Amino acid sequence: MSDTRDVDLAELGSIPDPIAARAPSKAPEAKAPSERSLTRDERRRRYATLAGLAVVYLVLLLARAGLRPDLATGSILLQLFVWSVVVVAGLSAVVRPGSRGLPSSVRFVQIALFTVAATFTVISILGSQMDIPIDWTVTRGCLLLASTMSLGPLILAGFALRNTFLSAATWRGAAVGAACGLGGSIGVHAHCPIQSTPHILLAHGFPILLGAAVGAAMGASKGRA
Amino acid sequence: MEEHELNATMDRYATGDDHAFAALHRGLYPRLHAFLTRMTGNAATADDLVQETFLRVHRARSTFAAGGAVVPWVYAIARNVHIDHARSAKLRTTERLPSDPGAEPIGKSDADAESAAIAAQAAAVVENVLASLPDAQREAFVLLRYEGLSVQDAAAILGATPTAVKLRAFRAYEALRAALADHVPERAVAKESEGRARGRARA
Repeated sequence: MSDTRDVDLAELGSIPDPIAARAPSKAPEAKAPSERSLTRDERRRRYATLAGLAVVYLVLLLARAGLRPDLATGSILLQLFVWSVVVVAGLSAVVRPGSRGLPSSVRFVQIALFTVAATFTVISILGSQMDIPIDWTVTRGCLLLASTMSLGPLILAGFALRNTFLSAATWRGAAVGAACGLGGSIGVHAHCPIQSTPHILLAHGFPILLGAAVGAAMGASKGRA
Repeated sequence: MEEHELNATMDRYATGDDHAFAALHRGLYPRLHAFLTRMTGNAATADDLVQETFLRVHRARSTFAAGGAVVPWVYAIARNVHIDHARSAKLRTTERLPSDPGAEPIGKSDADAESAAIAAQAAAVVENVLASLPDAQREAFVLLRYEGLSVQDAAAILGATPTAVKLRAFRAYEALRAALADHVPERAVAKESEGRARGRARA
């Protein structure tokens, strides 16, 4: 196998161009398509509106489910705050253009995806207790609520970002989905006071996996520009 | 049109100036058509794919970042158009059409007949080998060798790391070089003669 240290791209120039003998194509006259398309400002407003709707959705579900009695505790607030920062940073890392307006590197997106999952896992483990056993009835309920909470942001993100990914659409979709899933995790964690580590990782963390899987599928099918 | 002019034109288009489309189309069409012809091996198919590319450029214009570089941005969209075309072509299981001869070759009357024949044979070998390469290798090679993009830009377009792009392009190069050596050995002889002639001219 060739070693990349030996790669001399100057040698590529020795391969002739298969279409060199043809006259260059002349551009036919063209007008802008009549189909309506967003301008840059309109897209910014759309993103802001959809982000706001996602937050309203979560707040309404949370109001319906109720807040945990220890929500005002410093450690809980810190967990929720750190995860919220990771959601915003993760989405921003994937969606914001990189150098010269081109998409951020696929490695960067993969790191963002890993960071979302790792941050949730580490903070959950640190802030809970391993020796509290899992109650499957309660866990099922939390799993359903968490998944429902992540679904709204995921659908809204899918609508906002369809046909916008220039490359690595599956990875970008997965990263966005995981971030939306973490949004659902934040919502259910603001409701559920159970301190069992297995419960938190499974029931509160499942939306991250679900979001990543659904996001990857959406990215692959509808994400490419 | 210079690249900075193209970038400014795309910026205007992204903010809603529909009149900028015509200039954008004129500036980018030849490059995109050449790229898609190299990727598909067929100029008629490239005609359709270029139209689709500009339609997607129109739809995605709001995502073009202020001050961004339009050339690699548009290449990324053209690549996606090609991917979608190739996938639907697999589903249709159509046979690959032989490459059409394209427009009348330029300057043929001035070229040595034998050199022209060797060049044509080499071009045909390159086209066939390119078509047989894995998509990832073909894309990397075409973007770096013929489209003149940097490794960083090609990596952003392909959603790969720069190291992976270089390796893919080099593997494609090795396959092409081997095929040219096998099928057009006269090319090596002609190049050697050219080299000796240049050496004598310098002496």
